[in-house]
Amino acid sequence: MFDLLVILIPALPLVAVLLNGLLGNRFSHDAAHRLACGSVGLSFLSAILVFAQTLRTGVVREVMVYRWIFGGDLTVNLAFLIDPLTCIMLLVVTGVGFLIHLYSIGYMHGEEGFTRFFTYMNLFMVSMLLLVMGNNYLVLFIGWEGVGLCSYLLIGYYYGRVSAAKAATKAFVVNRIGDAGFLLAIFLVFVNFNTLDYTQVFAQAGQLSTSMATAITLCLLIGAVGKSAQIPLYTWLPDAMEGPTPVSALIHAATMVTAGVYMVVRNHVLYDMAPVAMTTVAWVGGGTALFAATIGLVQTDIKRVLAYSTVSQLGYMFLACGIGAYTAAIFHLMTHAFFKALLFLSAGSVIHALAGEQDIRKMGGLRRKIPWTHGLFLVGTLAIAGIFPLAGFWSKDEIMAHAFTHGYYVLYVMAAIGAFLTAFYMFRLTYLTFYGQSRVDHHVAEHIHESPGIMIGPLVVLAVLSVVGGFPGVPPESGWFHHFLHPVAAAAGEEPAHGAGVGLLTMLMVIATLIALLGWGLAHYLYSVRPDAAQQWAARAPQVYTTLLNKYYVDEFYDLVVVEPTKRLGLLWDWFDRSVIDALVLGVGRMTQSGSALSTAFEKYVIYGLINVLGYGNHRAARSWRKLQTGKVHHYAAIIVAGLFILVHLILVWWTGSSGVGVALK
Amino acid sequence: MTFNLTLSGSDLLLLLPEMLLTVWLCVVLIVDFAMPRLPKDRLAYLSVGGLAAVLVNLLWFDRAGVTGTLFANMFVVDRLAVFFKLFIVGATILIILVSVDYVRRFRFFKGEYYFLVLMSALGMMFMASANDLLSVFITLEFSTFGFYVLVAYLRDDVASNEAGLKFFILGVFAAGLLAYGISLVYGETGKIVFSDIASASPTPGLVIGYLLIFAALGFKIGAVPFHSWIPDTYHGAPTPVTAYLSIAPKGAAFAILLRMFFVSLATLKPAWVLLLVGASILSMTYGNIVAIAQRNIKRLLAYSGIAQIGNILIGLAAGTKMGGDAILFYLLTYLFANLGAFAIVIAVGNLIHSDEIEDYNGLNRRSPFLAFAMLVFLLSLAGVPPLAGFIGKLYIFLSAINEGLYTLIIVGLINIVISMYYYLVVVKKMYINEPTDPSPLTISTPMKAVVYAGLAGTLILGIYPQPFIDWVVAATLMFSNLAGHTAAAPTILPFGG
Repeated sequence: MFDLLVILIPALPLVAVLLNGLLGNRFSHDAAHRLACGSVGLSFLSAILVFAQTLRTGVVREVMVYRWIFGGDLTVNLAFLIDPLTCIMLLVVTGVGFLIHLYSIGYMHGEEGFTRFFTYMNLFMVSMLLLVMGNNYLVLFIGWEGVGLCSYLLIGYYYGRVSAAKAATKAFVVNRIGDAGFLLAIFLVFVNFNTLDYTQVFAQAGQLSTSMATAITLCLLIGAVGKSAQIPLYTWLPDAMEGPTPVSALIHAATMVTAGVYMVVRNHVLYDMAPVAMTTVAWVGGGTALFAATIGLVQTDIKRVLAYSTVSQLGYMFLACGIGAYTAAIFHLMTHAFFKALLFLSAGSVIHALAGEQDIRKMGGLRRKIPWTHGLFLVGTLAIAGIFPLAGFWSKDEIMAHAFTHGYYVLYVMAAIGAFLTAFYMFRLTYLTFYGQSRVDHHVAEHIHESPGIMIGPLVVLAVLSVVGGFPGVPPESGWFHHFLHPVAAAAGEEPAHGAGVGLLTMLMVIATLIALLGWGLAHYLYSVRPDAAQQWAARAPQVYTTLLNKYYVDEFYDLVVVEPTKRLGLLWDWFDRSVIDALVLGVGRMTQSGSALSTAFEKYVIYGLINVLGYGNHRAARSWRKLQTGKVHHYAAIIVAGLFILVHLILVWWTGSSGVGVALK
Repeated sequence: MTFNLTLSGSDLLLLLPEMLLTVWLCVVLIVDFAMPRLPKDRLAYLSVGGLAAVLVNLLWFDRAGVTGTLFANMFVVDRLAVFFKLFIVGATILIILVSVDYVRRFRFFKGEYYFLVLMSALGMMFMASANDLLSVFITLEFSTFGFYVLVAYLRDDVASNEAGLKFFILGVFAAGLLAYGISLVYGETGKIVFSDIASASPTPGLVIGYLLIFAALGFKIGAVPFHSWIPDTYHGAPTPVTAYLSIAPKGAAFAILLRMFFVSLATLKPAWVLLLVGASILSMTYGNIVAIAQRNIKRLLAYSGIAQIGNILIGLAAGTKMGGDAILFYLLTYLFANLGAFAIVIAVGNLIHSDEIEDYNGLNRRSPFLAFAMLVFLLSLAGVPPLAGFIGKLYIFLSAINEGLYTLIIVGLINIVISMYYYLVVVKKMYINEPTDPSPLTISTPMKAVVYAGLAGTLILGIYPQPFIDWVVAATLMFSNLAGHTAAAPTILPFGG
């Protein structure tokens, strides 16, 4: 029963994919979205049941589906591992996924390719579930690539948009760079352990040398960095905002991009053995958290601001992993899924209301026109900014507190500055969108409307989760969440910070709150009290402003150093193939041509002459034989060869073979 | 020296598939001439019928485990040979089916086309059984011969003639190399049967000889630096011929390469590993990077094919039984994905008379089925799970990593990233760009059959590869004795190669 439930979780959306994909054009839109949402809803139910069972028994189960590959030294099963970590991921993926599916019914209504959209979304769910459920690296990798493919297809969802097409390709190719590292890690695991199953690998991890553990974990990190949009492979995520907004919410905020974090936590046994890799993870995370936040300060596209905020928040999760706070990382992953999905979907609701407008310079004063959306977006902003007692406060504070109590002071400061910037740019976004004077175009302003219930409903649920989602993690480091995940993180040697007193933790919480309020205050001052001040500040430091606006020119740098040279090399070698080799061959060809003129003459006068003489002798036979004489040399040749072979076979079969006794040729 | 040519009834049994095909190709030729009013499509189905019989025959060989040698070890039937013969016959059946629409457009010699395809198939079947250097030469030339004609088949088309000429000139050159190589090896050892040469100790002449032979075979499979004929020939040849050329002869050549490297040269492995690593790296890198610059889908697939061969050479460089398994499996995945992709190119070419990638714009809107199928095939070629190509790449990389070929693996992985780019360019055009002419496209039944076969193969080999892995593992049992160094855990960072 339990096994069946587990298998149903990915199987249900898969069935929906097949039905919608194969028969979708015969379905009505209603049938298509009912099938898609229903399957994800049922899979969410199964996930709850599986979770409840695991919570009750506390047993880690492996569910075998079938033996996938067996050959040489390699055995890989399609099998699932159900442990507390998987359960949390399952709930987040199916739960948030289900809400976003519901929202999409309203958002995508009337779009071309409605069924196609839901097919891809469901395919994404299947891949993501395989990713978090697999009991070995290869199943993880299938999911890993599958989500990348769906991301590609969904970013490029809008036909004919060149920017979307470019963004989609960029996302996939950049991800593939990460995948190369990931595959290398898988190979190294295979060489060292001769298996790819987590349980066996982790059980034998002790025999690994530190350098090998470092190599494996760094390669894994390359994969994680690609998928989770960390420095230096983060450039694809902001561009990915070309896709429809529910896609941005589901794939590029709540689930897929957190796969890297999940993978690092899943492999924490290996990471714990490699201090160098841990430090790298921490610094990549801390650096990204800060770096992306600075870019977020000046962006003017509502979704791009959220995209950089996602990159930055993922940085916090990596930072947490790097300092060994695995539970905190997953905790932040969960709360982030709630409030970031909320923010994206509310942003979608804004875009929906403004008939596709995404530029916050053309918004403003929307508070009264779309009050629900405003309220929901505000909840999301409060949560991500880390205002007490919303979800983001607890999870972010836990990461920062862990950094501080474990002596990572520089990282703590980076995270704190990042938190300040986060609060600032998120409230900037809120003020520019919902407050102040309306800067909306007139013809758009007339049609502003609140979104339908099917869109607002899921948002309300997410808003509630963004408010209360932090409580399972209270009190910090010993809440229910930590106890539940303890079996997974325990092996890591992660212990509650006994050394830190309650006083210190409280003080850190107060500091965190103050930082957030400070960011809010500054945004309030710049964008509400003195609306012209922001521009003055920007004018005072134009270089800084332009650099930030252009995202530190990293895209341009990559183009210059990697993309263009590769393309040029391709063109150069292509030219080489076309001209140099051609010249060689044609030279020989010319020589042959003159030779062939001679042989043609020979053929024409001598061979035809002979045939004609023969033909004259036996007119009738000649007429029928002429059919064989089609005038093309290759026919002669083909006939000669066929004839030869028939002769050879005949001789072999009848002359030597039939006797049954071998004929010896000397 | 003495040759004992003995043949009994049971010996002849070993030749049964070849004899069947020989008879059949003559039947096809005679029917073509004798019944001029018969629609030439029928000849295609006639050919497929004959090939199906050969296929059944081979399957029976495979199940029953029929093995043996003929003509003083010249011709061998073992599981490996049967595998490759099945591969060739399967590819030929699919090729004939995709040719039907294309051949209908020919003005002349429609019937002879099928005859020539069958003849090439026969030559390649003999290649799969070639067990000494002499039969290598004969069978290789025999199979190439049909292709010389086929490549230049469009006699009014300058590109096709040019392709044929180039292929011929370079092919003859390669044949010269092969003959010279064989003469050197024979001169040094006095032996020609692969398994006999195995015991010989290496001398300079022997090494040069083998290099020359490798060059000729490298020409056949299109490995860099013997690849120069590939792009132009692929571009100019009739597309079904290109498709055929891109798969079947490569498979057949790998049968010979496997026997040569894994049997004759097994003991000299340290000497040739670097050669193969080099050829592999060159092929992958060159093929992938130049593919980026292509605007014609046939040229793109030509360069992608060069890169794929680089991938397969990884398995050869591994030099173990697992490497052999991986090569066989990879060839299967390549068969379905590459042939499927070419089937789409042929279908689209028949309908819109263009092979430019630009004209694939908006294919998804014109024919969702064709676009989806092409997507699957390209992603499989790029090695995206859970499609066949992924398992193939995984298998081949794992075989190499067991031998510690880390440099090769890393270059291979980087190349996968590069290849993703140009495959995606095609996907992007099909799915995201607007079509210039939105009229829907429909394809014929035989073509559909091939696309479905390709899809089925690509998906099944990816999702449930087990039976096929069992098959290739059984086919390479003869290499079991190959010693690789065992997968003992390296203790130091292994980035030396």
